[in-house]
Amino acid sequence: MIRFDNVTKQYWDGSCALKDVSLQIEPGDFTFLVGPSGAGKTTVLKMLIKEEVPTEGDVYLNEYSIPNLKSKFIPKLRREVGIVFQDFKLLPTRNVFENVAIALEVNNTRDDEIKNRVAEILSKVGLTDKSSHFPAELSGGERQRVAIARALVHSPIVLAADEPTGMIDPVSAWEIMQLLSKINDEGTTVIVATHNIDIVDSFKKRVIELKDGQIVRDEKKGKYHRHG
Amino acid sequence: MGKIFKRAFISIRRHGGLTLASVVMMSTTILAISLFVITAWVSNVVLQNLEAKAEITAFFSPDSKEDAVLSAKKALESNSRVLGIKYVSKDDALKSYQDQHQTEPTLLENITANIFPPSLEIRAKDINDLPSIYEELKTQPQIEDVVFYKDVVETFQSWVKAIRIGGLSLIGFLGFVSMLMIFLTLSISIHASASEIDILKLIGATKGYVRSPFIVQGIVYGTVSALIAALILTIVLPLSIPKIAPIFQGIDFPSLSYVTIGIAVAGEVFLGMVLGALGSLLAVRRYLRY
Repeated sequence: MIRFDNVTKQYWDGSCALKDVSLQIEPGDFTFLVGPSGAGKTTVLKMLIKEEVPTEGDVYLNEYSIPNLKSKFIPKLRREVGIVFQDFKLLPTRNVFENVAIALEVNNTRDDEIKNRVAEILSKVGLTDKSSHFPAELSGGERQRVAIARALVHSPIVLAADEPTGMIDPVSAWEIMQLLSKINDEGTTVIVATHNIDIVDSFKKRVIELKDGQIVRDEKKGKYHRHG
Repeated sequence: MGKIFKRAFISIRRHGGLTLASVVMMSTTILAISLFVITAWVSNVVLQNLEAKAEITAFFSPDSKEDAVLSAKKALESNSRVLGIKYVSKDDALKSYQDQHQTEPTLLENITANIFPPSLEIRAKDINDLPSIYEELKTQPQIEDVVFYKDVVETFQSWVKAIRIGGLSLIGFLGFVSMLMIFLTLSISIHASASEIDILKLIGATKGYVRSPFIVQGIVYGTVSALIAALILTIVLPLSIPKIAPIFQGIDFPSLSYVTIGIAVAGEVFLGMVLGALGSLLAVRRYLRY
């Protein structure tokens, strides 16, 4: 379970990314975070991996307070909360297999285990035949699937995706969303921050709308716009 | 472990120019430190030799009876500060004179033992006691003259002290500069790999996983630099020793075994590794915060 308790994030220059945000996401939920640029969607996701910490309030993953987590536990947190970025954040000098494998390597996983697990996850995201390709040789959609595979390789309890369809064509975007839905069906909590109206509207999942750092709407089966 | 080394070597290769600058700087440092250690060792041996040879010679009047000199010797031997006393009789003095002037027969004409004063050569347990023994001997009436080359020993002592202080300061300074060089090189390496490091952190890499290749990189720089310094010394020292050796004629140097040389090289490598590791640790602590 994820819980934000009256979370505020203010920067040194006085700007405010989040203002008194409280929300709760249950295990196995599929949640869209929507809202204009600068609304605070990315800050919410960053707080889940302690990339940002609140200036006020608290963020919980199950019973653990993320802001109070000691730095030595951050790597473990980041394996529990897999994250996918709009710009994929793949290592350009490593092929598909290596880009996924690195997530296990950093955890000192044995080589034979890495080999089996990566093969399994690449098959899941439909990239088995591209395992020796480098990121530059892949389409946007394929790159995003590599990023998802990397985030999934640790079997995280939460998968957070920040604009996962932002840099890919509409067909690939739909495929990515189908993949995320499939992952959610298997029990992983999925949170997607997005601008993609069509996707949000067609999925009919929970929608949390942020504006100027505040939650302005939280609907169980919502659409992108309140009156759309 | 193999993967850490692989990542370290990739980073070393990427920053070839900086690697070269760091290694040159560190080699120079380790070379300077080695030269200082050699200089300090040589001066120590010379000082020990001088100290061992430092003695006071008390000359009695030429008409002194042997018994009187020997009883003075016996009295001095009971002095706790005295290490040993050698009695040089008139005949010994003549023989020594003759030996020294073998090639100059004119100087040996009409010379008899009678003109030489008998003397006692006194060595102290502690070289610092020589001046007080000297002062005591001067007050004794049967002793005509007391000779003590204290200036030579004292001057050399102060030289050795200066070498030690100057050398240690130099080691400190060069060691600091070396570490700074490694620090800067690794800072640049870390900055150049910033996006990769960010990704690694975001996907749950441990601190150790992210830091270890950079620490290995620093240790590799230090080790390679030390080996280069050792190689230069191995080539230069045997060539320069024959030219320097005549300066130290009469000084007994302990011979250096291969084991000693091996220990010295190992010490250099260890020093290089420590400097490299410290420089890299500083850089990762400064730039790889979690």
